[in-house]
Amino acid sequence: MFLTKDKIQLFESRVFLEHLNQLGMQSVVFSIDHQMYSVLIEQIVEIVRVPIITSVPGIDPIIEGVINLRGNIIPVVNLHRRFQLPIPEKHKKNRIVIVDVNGENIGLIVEEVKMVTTFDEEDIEPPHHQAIDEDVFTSFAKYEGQVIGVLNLHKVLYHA
Amino acid sequence: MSEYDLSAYLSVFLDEADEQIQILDKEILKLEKDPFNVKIVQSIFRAAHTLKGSSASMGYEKLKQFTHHLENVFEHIRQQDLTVTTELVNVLFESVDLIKQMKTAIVDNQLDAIDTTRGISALEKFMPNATNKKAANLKKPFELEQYQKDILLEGLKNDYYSYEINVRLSDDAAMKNVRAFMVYSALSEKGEIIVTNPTVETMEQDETFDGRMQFDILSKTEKDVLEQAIKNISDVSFTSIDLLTEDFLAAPKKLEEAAPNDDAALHTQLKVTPTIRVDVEKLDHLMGLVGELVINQTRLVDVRGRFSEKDIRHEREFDVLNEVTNQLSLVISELQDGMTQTRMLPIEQLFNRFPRLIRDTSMKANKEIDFEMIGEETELDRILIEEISDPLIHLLRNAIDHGIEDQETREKSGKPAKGKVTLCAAHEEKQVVIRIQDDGGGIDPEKVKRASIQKGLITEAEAKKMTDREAMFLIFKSGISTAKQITDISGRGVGMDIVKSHIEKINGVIDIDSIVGKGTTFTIKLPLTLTLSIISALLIKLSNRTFAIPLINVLEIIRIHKNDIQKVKDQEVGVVRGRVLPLIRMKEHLGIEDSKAPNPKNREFVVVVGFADKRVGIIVDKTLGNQEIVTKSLGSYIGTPPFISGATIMGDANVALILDVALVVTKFGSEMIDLPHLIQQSEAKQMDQLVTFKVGQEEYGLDIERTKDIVPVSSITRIVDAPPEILGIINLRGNTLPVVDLRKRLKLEVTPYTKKSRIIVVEYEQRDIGLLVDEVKQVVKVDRFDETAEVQKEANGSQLVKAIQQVDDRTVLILDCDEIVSTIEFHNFY
Repeated sequence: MFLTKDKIQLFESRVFLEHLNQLGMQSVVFSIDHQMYSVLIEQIVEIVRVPIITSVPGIDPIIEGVINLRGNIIPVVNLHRRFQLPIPEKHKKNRIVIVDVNGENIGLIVEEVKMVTTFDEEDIEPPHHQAIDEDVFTSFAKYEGQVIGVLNLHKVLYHA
Repeated sequence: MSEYDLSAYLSVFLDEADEQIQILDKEILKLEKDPFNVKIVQSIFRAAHTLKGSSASMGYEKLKQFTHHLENVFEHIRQQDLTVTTELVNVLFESVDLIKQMKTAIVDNQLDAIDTTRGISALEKFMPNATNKKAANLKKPFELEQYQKDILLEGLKNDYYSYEINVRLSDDAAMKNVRAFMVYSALSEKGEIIVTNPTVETMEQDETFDGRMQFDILSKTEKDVLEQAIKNISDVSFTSIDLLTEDFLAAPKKLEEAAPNDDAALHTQLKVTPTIRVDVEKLDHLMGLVGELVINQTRLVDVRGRFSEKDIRHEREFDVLNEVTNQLSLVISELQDGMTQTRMLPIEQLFNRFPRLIRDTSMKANKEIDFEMIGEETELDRILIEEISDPLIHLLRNAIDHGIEDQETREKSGKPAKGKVTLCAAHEEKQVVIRIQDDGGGIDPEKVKRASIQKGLITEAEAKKMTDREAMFLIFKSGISTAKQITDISGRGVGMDIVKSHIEKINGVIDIDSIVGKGTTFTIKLPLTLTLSIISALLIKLSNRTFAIPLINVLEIIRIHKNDIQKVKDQEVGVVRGRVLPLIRMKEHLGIEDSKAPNPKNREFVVVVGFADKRVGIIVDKTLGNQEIVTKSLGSYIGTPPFISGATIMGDANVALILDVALVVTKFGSEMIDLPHLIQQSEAKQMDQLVTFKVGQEEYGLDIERTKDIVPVSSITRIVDAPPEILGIINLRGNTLPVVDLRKRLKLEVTPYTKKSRIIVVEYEQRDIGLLVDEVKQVVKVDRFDETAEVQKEANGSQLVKAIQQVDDRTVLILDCDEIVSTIEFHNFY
């Protein structure tokens, strides 16, 4: 694949972000069904607008379909379906967060990307064994009075 | 040489060995037909020698020794003291086979396990005698300069014999120089010594002279007299005297130079183009980049298309875009072809093995075969050449063993005694097509049926319902053989099964054409290359979604009338060219919902796809045309969904899925569906095609055979003093033709023509005549107009309507074209 300008910038920013990560946990925060979730920025490849998604018959229903990202075919997971939440209307603020899991790029459809932030060490708690199905969260972060779940992408994407 | 070094050279060695083995096979075959051709002997000798040399340098002692023995035999053939007999040729071929075995063993590191002793002793039997054998090996190369050859040739013309004499002194002989001189003077008494090897000075003075001498002389003395003269000299241990022929001397210098030790000359017979070895990975990477280019190019073309639809204010810029896009498309397609070429080899490599195979097989089967190969230069992917080898061997063997009848039968049926087998390769539409054709007995569908019943593959009832074509395809099932007896060549019935699975593996399609008593043709279609991610595909629509079907699997696109679709065991089928075709509603299997109301049309688009020996029809909503696509994997996260083999990116940057034809066909094509009554029904029905159109309130039809063209109404030039039915003349592609107003002719009210009006061009007495109609409706297939309709003619009261036809609940009046135009006076218009 060709290295596009975007990619180079992305690469540079990732180097920078990795540096940041050593200082604290940089995370991207987004909403799904008005609930806040976050993913560590080091797991994120890029964030794009939602293009036309081609659905693929006969696959895991949580996968909405595939998109073309600069010539690469990327599967896109619908987190609403994954968490069995009502499917909302399309909105222009919807984004696809492309994450790198096991060396493969996978897109997550999110309602809205809220911010990129660093959680303070003391605001982060390990998952309390609460009712929320499996352990899809690695930890929880408190942020301005809200609790934001940090997603365990492995558990989210490779559910049984 | 270290272990590492050897492995690095192994592939080079194997390639070279392959080449030499092929030369051996090919040339020995030639030698059998032309035993005295010096050139052939030379090239065989060279091949054996190269093999010996390279195996020695690789340290394969066993192979070296064996080829050494082989080389000796060839040496004797060259010396003409060994006659080429069928027996000898057989042993030679066996030896080549043994070399092949050893080559394989080298790959598997099993060389030690190969026993060469039997092979060697078989070869040794042909040695004139032991001493000769030993000495022959000791001979040194001997090169003649052109002027020396000229002298020898001149001598031959003047009735001299030209001899090449090899003399060897006993190893323990004292005073070798003196003996050598004695030989020299003995020979000079008998004739003119033209050249010696080594030089006379060496012979007479050199202390290291080893006692080996070679002389070329011109003499009128007989061979045995000469020999006796030499043998009279004491301590001479070996003599060989060869007559040099004119052919040998006149042979081009190149061949002469190709003395055994001259490795460089070994390739003289091969076309030598400078080559470099390139890592396949590098090629794959480049190919990937070409793929990216193709995607972007399709997108560019797409954008251009959208531009051209718009009202362009920047026409010049658009022209530039247009030009650049075209140029780019050209370059990319050439680049793509070039990249594909890098992996391609001529099929010759494979074909070269076949004459030998045919010879052996026909000998065993005791049949005479006239074997022809066409299109050896056809190129295809190296991997495919390897994969297709076994199926072709099987099919060729079958052709000889089962296809071609024995001589007696052939003569009885008036065929030439020699059976004809043709192997033909060609490029057709970015595919490689290989045909194996024989003029033998053909495949008897009844025999195949009987064999299949016996094996329990089908029931009696099923067999009865089968068409001949379907029965023929049964041979691809395991265990079916129609051979009366099992020979050791074939007949066990495992072969065709393997042929099929091999062809499946490389995504090919196989077809049979056979006429009992006339012969059989197998046609294999293959993609040009396997690894290539750029393929031609047919784009289709299922609802509003686009899918790609690899073109290699697409056999045809047809339309089937809804009424012709029948249900058998819950499976919809249609009859296409005498075969019952399972029809697959892909939308249902893919869970795609209809976007609109169900197809209101009466006929379905069916894409007939094939995979190996199976066919199915896929019902689609629309076909969009062919396009080069770049196949991409869906990735491991999605895995392998059913019926989808991958994805591709379209011109509009959206993703389209590629249908997994192999799966669709194997899943749905395997069900044997046979409904002979269905076939008979549809075959009995003589179908006619009608063009239907409206004139006034009624719908009329014309036999499509009579219509040449349907064109929109352009300007009609009115003609003065014309018959009232004639509206005027039009110019159609340079021809002027009269236009008849059908309204007028049918005595309806005349109305001005509209946007929907069309002129149907018909032919009458070799002239074109246009018929103006209000609107053309459709082209339909109907049963041949039945007699009952004909009866109504009178009731209709018109001569113009020759039949009445029901088309989808509508009544169509079929017009008699001749009736309509015959009464009109046209001659003023031509």
